Amino acid sequence: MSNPNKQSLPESIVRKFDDPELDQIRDVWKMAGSLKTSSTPEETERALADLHLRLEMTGEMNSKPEIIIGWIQKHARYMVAAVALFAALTLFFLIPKTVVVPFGEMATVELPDGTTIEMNSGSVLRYSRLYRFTNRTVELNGEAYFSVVDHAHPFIVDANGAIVEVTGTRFNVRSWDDEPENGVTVTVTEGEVLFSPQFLSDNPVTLRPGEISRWKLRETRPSTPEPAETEEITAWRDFRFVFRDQTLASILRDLERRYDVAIELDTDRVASTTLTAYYSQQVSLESVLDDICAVKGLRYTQTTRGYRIFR
Amino acid sequence: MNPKTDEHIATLAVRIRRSDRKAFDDFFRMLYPGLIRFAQGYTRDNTTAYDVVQDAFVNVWQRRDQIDEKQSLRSYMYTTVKNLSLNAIRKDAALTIDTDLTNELQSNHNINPIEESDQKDLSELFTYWISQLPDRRREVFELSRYDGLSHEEIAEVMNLSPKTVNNHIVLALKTLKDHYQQYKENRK
Repeated sequence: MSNPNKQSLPESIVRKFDDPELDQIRDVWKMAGSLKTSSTPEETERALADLHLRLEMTGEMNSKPEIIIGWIQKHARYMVAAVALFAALTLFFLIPKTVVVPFGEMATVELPDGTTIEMNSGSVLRYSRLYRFTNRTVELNGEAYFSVVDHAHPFIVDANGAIVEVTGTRFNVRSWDDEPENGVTVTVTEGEVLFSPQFLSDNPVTLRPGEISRWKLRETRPSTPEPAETEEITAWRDFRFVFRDQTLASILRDLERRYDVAIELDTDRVASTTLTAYYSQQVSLESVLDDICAVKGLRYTQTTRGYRIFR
Repeated sequence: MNPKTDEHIATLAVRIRRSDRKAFDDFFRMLYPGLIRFAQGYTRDNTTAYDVVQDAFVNVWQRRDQIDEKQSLRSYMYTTVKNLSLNAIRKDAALTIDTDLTNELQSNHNINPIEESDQKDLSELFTYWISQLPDRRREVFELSRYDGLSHEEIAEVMNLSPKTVNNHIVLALKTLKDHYQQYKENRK
């Protein structure tokens, strides 16, 4: 941080004065530099918090990816060999590791610190190669169940603009970027987690075992934690399906990911109506579609890529 | 003026362009007190000044991809605040009336600072003397002395030549020196 008070009298000013006067000018310069500025650090922090809030509300804080290639290109000319090696190492460490679970499959990832992450179909997980050394941050798009081991660094999940921060604990995060209407939900089965929007992390909600909270883009705080059916929410881990008051559109997307098919819905009217269903055992896609169509008064037919549902 | 600060701001500018929010926060903390004071000098109204400075930071974040690393981001911020302040004043004619009122109140309040000088803190006197400088000279002096802007940066913000900036500072220092000498004489 700069401190203009300490700056000495610039040469361009010194030149304008003669000796006896110059000393007096130096005194005045020093005096003027010691005057208070108009705002206190507290006021500055408050103003900064206001700014964060405003940028959050306009959705402006979502960062763009960093550009390092340009920098490397500019310097490569001079130190080709050294830079090439350096760039390779930098790229290696800066490009995160990515785990993509294909549609129709599920996966369990074990991180270097022993933390395990069970990932639902279609989910993507990203983390730094320096994970465990500089931080323990992972990015998630999709749904995953985390079993986090204790470690010096806090474990942080960055889920489409929401932050979940924990130490040693087990919890479920559901956050699909193609379902912004459902936001990000966090359910805790063991331990405690802190849940907040990425840019308003000063005031998180605390979730305890058996509690659920939801956050949607442009909300300043996640919902107050409430009791949850954790058994139902984590049913996907055993290939089971539980839909509780879930919209038809969202259910169909779950089915698409789980069974790796395309499901078209020809009638928009029912897309946002909700449905509750519980499958305790692995079921075939057809039997789920049979049930949905029976309840909603719809029919379905097979297509080349999957299914089409119509009235 | 202070190469270390300039370098620091240049580094922050590069990082802000890469969407580094921590750099943006540091940049905010660094410039905020100066920008608020600068805005208040135009708007004469704390709420408007506050809004203007917030707008300026929102603006620079939204256009961070256009940040020119070869130019001073600090003078860019001061220029933005100045323009937004002038817009705000123009937009609200009612505010002009308020301005006159506040000016009057201020001058009434400060009517005889020298007489009470014994009780008054010397720094208060200096603040008063600076506030009595001609507007433009005061602004140049405050940007230089309070906020540590270089002559070149001030020149850019105020649309002056660096030489004129230097003259303003020299003249301001002379005036302040005379006040100070006078004050010391009176105390004898």
